[in-house]
Amino acid sequence: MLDSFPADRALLLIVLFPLVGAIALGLASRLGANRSAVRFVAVGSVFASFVTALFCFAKLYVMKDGDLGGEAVISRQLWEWFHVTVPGFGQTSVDVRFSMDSLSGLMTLVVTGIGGLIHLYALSYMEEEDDAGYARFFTYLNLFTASMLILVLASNLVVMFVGWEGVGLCSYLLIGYKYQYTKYAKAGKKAFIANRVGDLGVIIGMFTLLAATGSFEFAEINAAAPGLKNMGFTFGGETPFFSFATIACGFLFLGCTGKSAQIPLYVWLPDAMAGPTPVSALIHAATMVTSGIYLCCRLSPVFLQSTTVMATIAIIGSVTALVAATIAVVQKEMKKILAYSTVSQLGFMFAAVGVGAFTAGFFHVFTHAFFKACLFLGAGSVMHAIGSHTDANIFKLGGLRHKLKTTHWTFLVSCLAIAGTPFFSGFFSKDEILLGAASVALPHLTEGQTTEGLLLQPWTGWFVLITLFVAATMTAFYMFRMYFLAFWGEEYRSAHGGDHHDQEHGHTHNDGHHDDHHDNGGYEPAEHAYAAKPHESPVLMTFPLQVLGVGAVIVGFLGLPHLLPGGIHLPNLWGEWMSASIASIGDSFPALHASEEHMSPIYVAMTFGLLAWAIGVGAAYQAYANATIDEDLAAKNMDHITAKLGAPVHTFLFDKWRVDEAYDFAILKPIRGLAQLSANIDQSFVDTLLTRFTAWGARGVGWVFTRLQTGVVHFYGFVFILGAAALSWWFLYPHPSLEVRSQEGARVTVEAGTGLGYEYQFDMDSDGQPEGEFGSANTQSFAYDADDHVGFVMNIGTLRGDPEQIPLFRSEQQIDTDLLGVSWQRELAEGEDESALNVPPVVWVTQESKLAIRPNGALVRGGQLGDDGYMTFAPGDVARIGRVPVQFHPVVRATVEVRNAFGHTRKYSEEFVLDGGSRATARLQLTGAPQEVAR
Amino acid sequence: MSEHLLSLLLLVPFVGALVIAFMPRQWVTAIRNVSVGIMLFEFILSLSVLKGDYTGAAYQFVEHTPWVESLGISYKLGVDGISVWLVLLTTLLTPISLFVSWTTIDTKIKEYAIAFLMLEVGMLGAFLALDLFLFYVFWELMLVPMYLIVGVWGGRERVYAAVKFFLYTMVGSLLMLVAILYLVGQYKELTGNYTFDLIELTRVVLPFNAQLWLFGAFALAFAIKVPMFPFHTWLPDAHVQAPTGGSVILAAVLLKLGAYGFIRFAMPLFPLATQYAGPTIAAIGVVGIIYGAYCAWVQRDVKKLVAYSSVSHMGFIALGIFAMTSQGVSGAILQMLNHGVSTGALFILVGVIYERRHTRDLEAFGGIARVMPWYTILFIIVTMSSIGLPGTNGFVGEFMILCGAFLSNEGYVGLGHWARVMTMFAATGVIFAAVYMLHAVLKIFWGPIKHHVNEKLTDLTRREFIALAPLMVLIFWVGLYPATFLDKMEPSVNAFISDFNQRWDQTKNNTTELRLLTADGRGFESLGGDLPEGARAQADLARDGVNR
Repeated sequence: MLDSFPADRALLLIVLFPLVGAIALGLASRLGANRSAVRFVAVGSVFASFVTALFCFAKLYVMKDGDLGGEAVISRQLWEWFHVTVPGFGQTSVDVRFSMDSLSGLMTLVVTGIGGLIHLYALSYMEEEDDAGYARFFTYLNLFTASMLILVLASNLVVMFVGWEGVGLCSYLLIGYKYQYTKYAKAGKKAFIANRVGDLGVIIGMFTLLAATGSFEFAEINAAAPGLKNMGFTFGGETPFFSFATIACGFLFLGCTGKSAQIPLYVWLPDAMAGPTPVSALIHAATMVTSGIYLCCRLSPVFLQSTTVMATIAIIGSVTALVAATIAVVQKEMKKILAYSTVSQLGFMFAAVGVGAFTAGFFHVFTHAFFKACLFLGAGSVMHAIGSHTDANIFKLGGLRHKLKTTHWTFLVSCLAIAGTPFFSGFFSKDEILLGAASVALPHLTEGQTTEGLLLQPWTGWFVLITLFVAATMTAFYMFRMYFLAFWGEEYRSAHGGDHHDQEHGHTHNDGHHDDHHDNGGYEPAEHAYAAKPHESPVLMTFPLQVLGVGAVIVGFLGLPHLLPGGIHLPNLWGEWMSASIASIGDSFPALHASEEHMSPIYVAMTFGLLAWAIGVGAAYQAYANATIDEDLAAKNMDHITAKLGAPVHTFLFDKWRVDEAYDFAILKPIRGLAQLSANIDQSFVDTLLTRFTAWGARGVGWVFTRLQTGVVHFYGFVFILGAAALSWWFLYPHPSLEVRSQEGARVTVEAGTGLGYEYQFDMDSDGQPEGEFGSANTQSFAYDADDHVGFVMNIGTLRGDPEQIPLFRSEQQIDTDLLGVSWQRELAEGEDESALNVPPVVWVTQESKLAIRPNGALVRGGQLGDDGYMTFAPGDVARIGRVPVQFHPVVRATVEVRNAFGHTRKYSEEFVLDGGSRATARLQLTGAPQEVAR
Repeated sequence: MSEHLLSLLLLVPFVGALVIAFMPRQWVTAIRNVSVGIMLFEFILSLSVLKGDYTGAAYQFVEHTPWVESLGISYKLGVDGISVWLVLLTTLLTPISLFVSWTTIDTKIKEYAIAFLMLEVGMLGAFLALDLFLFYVFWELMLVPMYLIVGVWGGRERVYAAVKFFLYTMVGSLLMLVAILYLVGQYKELTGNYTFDLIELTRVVLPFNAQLWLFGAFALAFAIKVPMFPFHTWLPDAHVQAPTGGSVILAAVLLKLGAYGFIRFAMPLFPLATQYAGPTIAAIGVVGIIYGAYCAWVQRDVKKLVAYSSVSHMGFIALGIFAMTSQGVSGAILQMLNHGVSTGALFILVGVIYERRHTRDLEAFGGIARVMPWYTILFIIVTMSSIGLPGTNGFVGEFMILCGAFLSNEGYVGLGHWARVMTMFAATGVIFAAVYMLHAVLKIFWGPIKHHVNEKLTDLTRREFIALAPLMVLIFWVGLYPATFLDKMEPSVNAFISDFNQRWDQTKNNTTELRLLTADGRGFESLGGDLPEGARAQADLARDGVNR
């Protein structure tokens, strides 16, 4: 049956079911629909998706054909979204394409499977909402599922980014689901913006990979990964300081710290617990926050190329695990504790990624999804039972194990799992992570090999190992602190505390605005006293708890340690399955692999793991199993153990190391200040400078002119007379001018400027003897002969076409070599000094009115070199200096005398070059053929 | 008809304005119906522009009639894959913007309708003109109706805003006129003829210094219109004072003319100057992205906030254009459409609450998600589009621009070494966009209802829905299947880039001379066309000697 199953098309269905569901529910929330229809669509769409995913997964299994580690990919291209051109690679299309392989197949099952259970739980949990709110909640939840599936199934970075931002949007909407409360809305905004900071990293990382590999497709990037280690952006041919792998992975990891709540961007996740509890379970524990680890695994071959980034991830991951654990230890509310626990566990996963144990990290994603979802839903069940809609204060609980039996046992097994109790799921996955760290700490060096060549140095491994050991111990401790305080103890501490109305069934959920009048001005919902008699939640809520609880116990067996002391081999299904999609550090660096002859990492990891569990759980049992709560200390958010930390330390931890405040002070306030400053500058400086100053300037000029408009008639009269006088002068005397109209050889026709009543008398050769009488004709022709020449010029051909004109004198002048181009020099004569060639040619007018050139260093052609070392030319002659043509022309002077109607006369003279006048013939007419010039 | 399609597009609103001018002013409803009817007809008519052949870069539906022959001025229109979308944006947004002002404008309705129709003529003309003189005429023609719309139907300080808008834009365009005349003068010097034809004028290769000055003049005119930092200060004033319809048109279409002017005129005409100044302008664009976002964040007036967000978004467009990569320019053009759609929608939405509450102060709202759920949904969708969430139009545009900018230092034309740094800073704009938009959303929609007046706000009316619906469709259409738009613009964009590169390559060493390219653009026209063969070869030899 599976053979004919169109798995590639079914991939699309996996995404479409929840997406269409979301659209339908969105319409239902506005247009109104039957609640049971809403329930059906909400849960049905996710389960339909789950079933389809199961089929695809089975198909994947079949495709692997018995070999779990075999390559198998189901892929479906939908349409080309857009394309980009990458220098060196050409056009690359960005496709909307989904693909499922070993990694994404499992993640799809987690998202739809656990997602479906949480949807089921939410049906009952959100029952109190009004119809519109109910449908709206499931709209968001389905939209989230769809986005998460897009993220997981995307076959390239860009489509993944659609899901990546899509889940961010849904997270924003769901955290702020109860938008009536400013606190919730603000928490949503904070989550969105922190994620956006990370998204910047994803974008830049994406572009770097594109520039380096020419593709956004995961498969192609991973295939090109080995080349990324030694290449990088260069500035002018230097070797790159950072490799492509380091830049890309560094930026992508920034994105991961946002999405997966790692230092420094983890601050949004604890606040995000403002969302309804199913949201916390689905988005902020099981699925969305693990997408950072998913991305690292997806691109594991690239990450393996950068030691810097791997070590950074390992350190940030383990430090985050520790810091979050220290905060969780002192918290008093269940969801807060679980939130920090999530941050801490995510730190474990990143530590695994950082030490190259990608498979182990992703295994922890998988097991964590079960037990953490179960814990959150369990907390939700407790809140439901006690009628709280903010959080459950463990100091006010106690003894719940008798009242909430199902919730209790599921919660217990999940606590056991997260604490790393042997044979529970968390035990196996945590052990794998510690093993990864231990393998780096204790590399298996062959003879003569040093740690020099290793991807990661042993100190990284030791750092991660020790930090995670401490964090794991604290995890076991705080989880059981919560468990004992909430579920153990003889009595339920709020049994008599409730002085409120309708505590019978404890349901004080409502949709917010009804209690606007006593909820802190709409900032957050008021804290009600807890119900006096908590009841177990309905079956719709307990069923998912049971499924997840069972999962929390058993799923660990998928990833049994491959190698046990004594050389026992167990089938590690997980590792084999994942090996098709995730690169392993062992493949590239065998020295970092535990093996039969090198068992020490396995011993170390197991010892640390078991010790952490034993110490943590034992201490918690000792401290809290039969604890009583001191009211005074509880008022100060402390219990008898955490009080021993001392008030300052406790406060510091309780206030989350005051990181929010530090960010506020160091980042937000300055940026906000800068923004305010920008806005002020914009109004007062930019606007003033560009508009008001200009306006004032214009007004100033206007003011000056208005001063002339005095209104004093005498002044106007005076100005009038001045003007009249100027005009009279203009008309009283003629204003002669002269221009060449045409020239043919030596015959030139000139034209004088006309005016009112002008008469003209021309003296063309300027010998003082006019050629005729005054007449009305303003043109005159004249043929010049050699006697009329008053001077000479030399025209040098230039590039522009217009010749450069050089007036010639009796004295010698050098020709500017800039006009001659570069190859004007002649060849060196025998026995001559090279410097002789640098002397430019000289030109002058001889006493006989001949035009002379002394070539000096230049190659001059067109004339005969005389005995005295120069050539002579007549006017009109052409020569060439180097490659540049030159021509000599005579200059003549014409004079016109103009008489106007008043009888006043004026003379005007103009000199002309007899070079033909118009521009076209100004070109030098050369007789030589081009070949003669070419050397 | 199809050979006069573009003229018809200009004629319909013009005739419409004439018709309305002769309608009695008491016929209020008729005037409203007729004016929107004409604009809708215009939109449907403009859709047939899509029938042109955009598989190549050639201009379609070209009309070429001499106008003032002695000066070489001609009436030349044409569309290519770049302008066709801007034309459609104009014809779509104009009826919408008039339609949303239906009830807000209750005085001088007739004049209002005429102003919008004339504005449409001006905008379309500027997008269609292929003659610099004609372009200038339409460019200035647009100013007048917009000036009146702000100055007559605007808010309390409308006159100040209108005058500022007019003068600011005018100063820039006057310098551009001078530059156009100089360029035409140079053409005359080279060929002996006048022409204002864009394609003819692109053959002129000016010396580098002259290019810088002329490019500066063009760039100033366009930068003011875009508006780019620091020439943006007229925008917040104009937006705040303009009536809703005016703001919509101003943001959606008018600003695009600046960016369009860079692509169509300033860059092809002056390639050396573009290459020289491009990275600087792109950097100013990046400054604008961040600066605009900062300013937007602290505004209390929603309209001002959106106005500053325009400064930020238009910075992206400048970055994309000057990246000179295929995806950068395509992304920039797509982003022009996106900004038109998203910011247009935002102004309509802001107009909706202004109409109900007569205030735009963020502090006057809060919690209205409960009373106006539909309004909230649409506002969130537009917000997400504005901050570039994948799946919406804003993402595709911004992503392509950033990608284009990031990769633009590989060729010899582009942003140079700083490309990646610029991209990084520009990408922070994406974060800040989320900051200021979500800040506004938080203030307006979430939290408890603080002011009791807001309890009685009514949700979107059917008319407002109808006005917003096409924009919502476009937000997702462009976001999910941008190929509809990109495929048509791509040949023109690629031709724009390859022509630019070729021209730059050809003229990069020729920095001091005035030359003319041959009509095919592959070589230089020799100046002494009438010289004998030998002499020309000689001149060529001489030139080689100097240049070598």
